[in-house]
Order: sequence, then C-alpha cells, then structure tokens
Amino acid sequence: MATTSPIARLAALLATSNAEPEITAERLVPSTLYDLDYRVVIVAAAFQMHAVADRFSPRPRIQNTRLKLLQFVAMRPWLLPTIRHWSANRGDSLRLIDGEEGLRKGFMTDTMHDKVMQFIAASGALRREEVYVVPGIKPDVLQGLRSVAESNSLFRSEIAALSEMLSITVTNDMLEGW
Amino acid sequence: MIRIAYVRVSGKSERGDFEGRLDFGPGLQVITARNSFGKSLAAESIAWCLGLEVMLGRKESDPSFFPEAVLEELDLPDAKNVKVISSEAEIGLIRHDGEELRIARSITHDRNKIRIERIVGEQKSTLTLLTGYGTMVDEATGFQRFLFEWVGWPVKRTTTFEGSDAFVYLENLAPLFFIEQEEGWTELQARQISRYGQQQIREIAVEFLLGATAALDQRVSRQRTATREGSLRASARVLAERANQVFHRQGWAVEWSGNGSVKEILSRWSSHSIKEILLQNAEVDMPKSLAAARERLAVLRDKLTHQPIDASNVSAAPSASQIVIDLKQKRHRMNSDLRTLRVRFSDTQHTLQSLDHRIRSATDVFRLKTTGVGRLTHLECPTCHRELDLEQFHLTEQTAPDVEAHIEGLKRDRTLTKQTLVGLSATLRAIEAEITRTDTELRNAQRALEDVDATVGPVREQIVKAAADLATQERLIDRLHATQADLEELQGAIDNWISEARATQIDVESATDIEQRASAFRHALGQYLVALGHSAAVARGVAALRFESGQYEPYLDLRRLRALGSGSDPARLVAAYSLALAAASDELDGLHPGFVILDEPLQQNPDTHHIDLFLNFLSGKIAKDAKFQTLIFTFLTEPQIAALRVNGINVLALEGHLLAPAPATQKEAQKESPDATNA
Repeated sequence: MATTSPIARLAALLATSNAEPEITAERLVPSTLYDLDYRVVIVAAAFQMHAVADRFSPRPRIQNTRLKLLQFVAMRPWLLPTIRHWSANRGDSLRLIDGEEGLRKGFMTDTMHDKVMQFIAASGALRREEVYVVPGIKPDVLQGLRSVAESNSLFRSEIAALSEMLSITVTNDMLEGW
Repeated sequence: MIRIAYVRVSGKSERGDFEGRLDFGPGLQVITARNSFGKSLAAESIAWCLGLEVMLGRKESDPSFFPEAVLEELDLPDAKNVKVISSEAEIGLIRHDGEELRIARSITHDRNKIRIERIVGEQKSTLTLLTGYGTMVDEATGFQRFLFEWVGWPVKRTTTFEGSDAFVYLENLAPLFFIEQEEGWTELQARQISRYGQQQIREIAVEFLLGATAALDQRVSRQRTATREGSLRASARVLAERANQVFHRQGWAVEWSGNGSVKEILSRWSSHSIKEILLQNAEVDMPKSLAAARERLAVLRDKLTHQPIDASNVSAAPSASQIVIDLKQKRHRMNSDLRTLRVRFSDTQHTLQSLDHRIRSATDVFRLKTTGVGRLTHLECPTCHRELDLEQFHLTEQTAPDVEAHIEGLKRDRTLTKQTLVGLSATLRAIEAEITRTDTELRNAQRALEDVDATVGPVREQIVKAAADLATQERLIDRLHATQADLEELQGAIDNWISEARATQIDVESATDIEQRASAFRHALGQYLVALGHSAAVARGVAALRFESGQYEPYLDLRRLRALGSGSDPARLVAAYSLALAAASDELDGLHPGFVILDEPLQQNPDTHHIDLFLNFLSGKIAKDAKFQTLIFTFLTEPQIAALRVNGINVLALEGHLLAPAPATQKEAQKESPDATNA
C-alpha cells in the first residue's frame, strides 16, 4: 500500500519518536464505493441496460441524471423499495416519506460519479451531449464489461438491481433538483 | 470379465421370417457399414437385451428408439414395406471361464420378459426373468439381480437425495462403457440416469467399475451420515424454536440456539441443561420461584382466614386503585420502549442487509483486482494516446490489499451488527412478554378494583381485596407449574436428541485402496488422451492431469479438461475416459464388464484430420494390446479398411442390410418362384 495516506504519513512520523503507533489497516482504507474499477463496471452495465435509441437519436442514449440515479441505486440495492415507493407516489407529495428526499439528495450529490464520467469521457468511451450521455468515439472500451461481469458471476446484485430498475418508472420530475 | 459374442435380431413378417446376426471376437474390432445397414440396430439391440432403454432416455420396456424395420415395416431385398408381425433381439455373452449366456428379449411383445439360456459345457438351462421395476430387488426373477450375480458383481446400495436407499443399477454403470451415438459423446457419462436421485452416482459408477468397493461403501456411509445429520439439524432447529417460544412467553432474554453442525449443537446442548442456562443468563430459578409463590399464598390465605380485620382501615379501595394506575403507567412506558426498539431493530436489519451487499460487492472488486477479469487494463486519450492520469480527475484506484482490508473491516462490522441484532431481538421479546404479563396483571387488578368498589364497608372491602390477591397468587402458581412442566418436557426432548446425535457420530474411516485405483485410472487416461490426439493433452503434456479428491472429473492443472482443447476434443475425452477406465480396471482386477462399445465415434467430427487421428489410434499399440473387448460401430472407406487390416485390426466390413429373410424363408421363396432364384 502506498504511503500517501495522511494517517500512514503521520504513523511514519510518530514512529521516528518514542511513540508506538498501531495502524488498523481496515479502518484506514476507503470503501470500494470509491474505487474507479468498480464504478466503471457499474456505469458500463447501467448504460448498456438502460440507454435506448429513439426517433431523435439513432444511437443509444440516456439522460446523465438518470444514469447517475441508476448507478447510485445499483450500488445500494436496499434502496429499491424506497425508489419503488417514490415512483408509485410521485404525484402525491403527502404520501412521500423522508427516505425519498434522502435518496434524491444522495444521488444528486454523488460527486464521485461526475469525476468517473469525466474520466470515461476522456477515454472516448462515452460523452456528454447536452443532458444526455451517448457513446463516444471509442465505445468498444466499455462494451463487453457487463457480459464479462455476468459470465464470471461478478456484481450480481448490482446487475439485478439495474434489471429491476427497468420496471420502475423514473420521471424527469424525480431526476430534478429541489 | 465378459465379452459380447454376437448380436442377433430376428422376427416374423407377413413375407416370412427374417433375421440378421453379427459375431464378434475378443479384443478390438471395427464394424463398418453404410448408414442404412443397421449398425445402430445392432448397438441398440445390445442395449435392449441388457435392459438399458432407460439409459437411452426411454421409459422401461419402451422400444421406440428402434428403427421401423423391427417395429412396423421392413424392406426386404425383394419387397418393400413388408409388415412386421413380431421381432426379437438376442445377444450372447461369454464369461472369462467360458460359460455362455444367451439373452433374448422380444421387441414387439411381452417386452418386460427376458429369456435366458445358460450354457455350461454341454449343459443348457433356460429361464425367464423380468426387467423393469424390481429387477434388482427380486432375487428369483429380477434380470439385473441375476446378471450381477452371473458377472460376479456385488449388489450395492446407495442413498438418494430424499434420504431413501437405492441400488446401483446397470444403467448407472453402462454410460461408462456404452457410448451411444445420440448424446453419449457430448460429455462424460452424458447418459447417466439422474431421475433415480442417487447421490454422487457419477463418482459411485466410476468407483464401482474400478473395483473400489471399500471406497464406495465409505462414500455411501458418509452420505447416510450426512442425511441423518441433516434430519438431526432440522429437529434441533424445531426444538430450539420450541424452547425459545417458551422463553419468549415468559419474557426471559435467553437464546437456545439450534444453529451449527450436529457436533457443535451436541457439544453446546450437552454442556448445559435448560435449567442451568436459565439460572445463568436470566436468573430464573423455577423451584425457588414456586417456593416463594407458595409462601406468599400461605401468607395471603392466613390473612384471609385467621388474621383480625381492622374495621377502621379504609385503604383497600385506594390501594386497589393505585395498583391499576401503576400497572397502566408501566404498560405505557413499555409500549413506548417497544416502539423505539422496533425502529432500532428495523434500522439494524437494514444496516446488516447493506453490509451483506457491500461485502459481496467488495469481494467481487477483490476478484476483479486479483484476476483482472472485467477490469480495464489502461485507458488512454483517444487523440494524444497518452495514458489517462487518475489524479487529474481526483480519482482513486484501490489496490487488492486495500480491498482485502476493507472486506475484513466490513466483516467485523457485520459480526458486531449481528450481535446487536441478536441483543435487540432478545430485548424485544422480553418487553413483549412483559407487556403480555402486565396486561394479565392489569386485568386481574381491574377485576379486583371493580369488586372492591362494589363492596360496602371497610371490612368487606378488605376481605374482597385479600380474596382477589389470593386468587391472583393461585393463578400465578398454576402458571409456574405449567411452565415448569413445559421446561421438563423440553429437556426430555433435548436429552433424546442428544442420545440420538451421539449414536450417529461418524466412525473413524478405515483406509481404502482408492488412491491406488484412481492413480491407475489417471495414468491410463493420460495415455489414451495422448494416443487419441487430444490437443490440450498433447500440447501441455499429461503430467499435470489430476482428479479432485473424491471426484473423477479430469483437470489439467487448474482447468477442467473438458474446457480445454479444440472443438473436436470433447469426443476424444469421452473415448479416452471409457477406454482408460476399462484398462485400469483390467490392470487392478476391478469390476469393469470387459467390453466397451463406441457407437459412431467418427460422426462427432467427420473432418479428415479427426478421422486420421482416430485411425492412427486404432492402429497404435495401446488400442491393439488392450485385453478388453472394444466394439466400434462406424463407417470407413475401402482404403481406410485396408489400412487398418494391414495393421492387424479386425475389421468387420458389411454390405447390404443386417436384416434379411431367414434361410428357411429363403428356401420356401425359391421353391415358389424358381425363375426369381435363377435370376
């Protein structure tokens, strides 16, 4: 593990004194939710499963915010009941509970996703086109990631959540800020 | 060891009798003829006579896999579409000591009957046996029972997935030495019967033919133990549920766990009785509680019957009222605690669910990091082709040790969360039980208050109050008695479970010769794979060929052999596996019947290269020197036949059609039409 972590550097400094620092590695490492490889696979699967071509665009495309919501829920499948409830009661604000607002705040402020999308766009795999995400000049970079994951039984619950999201109506209203 | 001496198909048609017969010698022989000759009919007749129609995917005694020529209509040299009246298949088997067995079975009538002719020297004996249901159980008329005895095979029992006993049948063994053309070549033991539900039947079949009967018996014994243990675990769960219900009703925060292996449960349940656990974890001492309750009852009874009553004491009604108020307040507090705890319980369950998911995801990320599967190796800018720098995007990429450490942390969190959940669950149960008890006390107190309120005068009020207290105490004692009886009954059931579990502990297994036998099989398999030209075996060598412990699926290094090599190699693997098993069994004096039937091996990969490899194999030493009988039904061209014969291979090249008018019918036909005969 590289010693770029501030705590590891602090431990190294303390070690030069009489202190006896003890580092519990599992408490220092960030969650895999912040791992680029993981996020790329989830974005690839979400794009492949949910992006569609329509009469305005011959290439498959998806709203950026929708993609953001999808990957957020895919990584947290326990939120599916909340989003299903939100979708079912989207016209009736009185019937919405705190969870919906939390979910909206959560996915809208997922800045890691924005960085990942910038990275993917820089690689040419996908690109932003107004409010949509469309295939870039090197779309093959991400193609096949989902099938490789599926054939190796990787990220089954994430892919199952993305699959379940196909049956949940997500309106533009739900994707907007507040 | 036995060999097949001949196969014969005969019958009656509306134009007279017909028949066809093929005779086979020992060792390797190739039976070659064009597709319409009836090679398949010959191979299917062997299966039919051995009662193997279930192996071919048919019901018992269902001959529908046979061609029309023996079922409906037949083409004879001088007439087309001749109606078949009856037909029959017959095979001859010769045992190593020279004893011959002729097995005949009708295809059209009485299909479950098998006619046996046993020839020992000059003596012949005939008997009729039954195939199908009871074929192994029925010692007098069961065909398989007879055949196993004649071949010298032991009758072996195995365990089904339902826990009942089942035999090892011929149709379980035959997929290893009878490779039929429809599905037999698709994978190892492709025609193994799964509908009987025998556990590990593929492994058992291999061990049987290798003669590893001790290992087979141990395997079945382990299966039986596992089945018994499964049933014991289930009954332990039921008992634990019952115990926890009793504890729940009483509001005791004690968990009687029925989880874990039988050994773990046995050790746990044997170390402490229910009484000890209740005393230790919830300070519940039933005899002491009963004694205290009885003592209180005696005091109340004495108060009611002997003690003087103070006529100026007017506290009975306020006291009864105060008890009701106190109980109502207590219930309100507990309901409020219950609501809070339920929310905490639900949140903790939610946390546990998310931790489970995060552990699964992190484990997948770890696999992704360590194996590289599903991971982008590097990404570059599409215009300048320089690798993208993650730091520019403020992104991090974790290493495998990072992820591993994260998984450890998550697992620790999950353990803690589970413990919290267990604690919350126990507290919830205790509060629920306490509320139920308080409700009962409140009802009693309200009843007492109503009675006291309805009474006139302080003396009567005190008497009514004392009587109500006495009745409540008596009900409490009844409840304690009932609970004690429940606990005693439960402890009795647990003691029974403990003695049953002790009786089923696995005995120490004795050593078997399976290692030696499996090693001989593995060695022979390597030789046959190379001889047959299996591309992965030839390219990588067979030094790393291995079986997983207790299984006989071949691996080369870490990969299954069936997943390696070219598209034509699976058929080579099937052939090598069957032949190697026969060779190993022969070397070790095992239980292989001594013949292998390969039906249409060349149809699997009809390209020239594959055919050449197979013909080279047939001409090679390993195929020619095999002591067991190998019957290969296929079609070869004249030059191929000639090449094999030059190499000393016995090739039975057949023309026309297997079925023809029987000699007697032919003579009659000649008499009726001499012109036709001359022609």
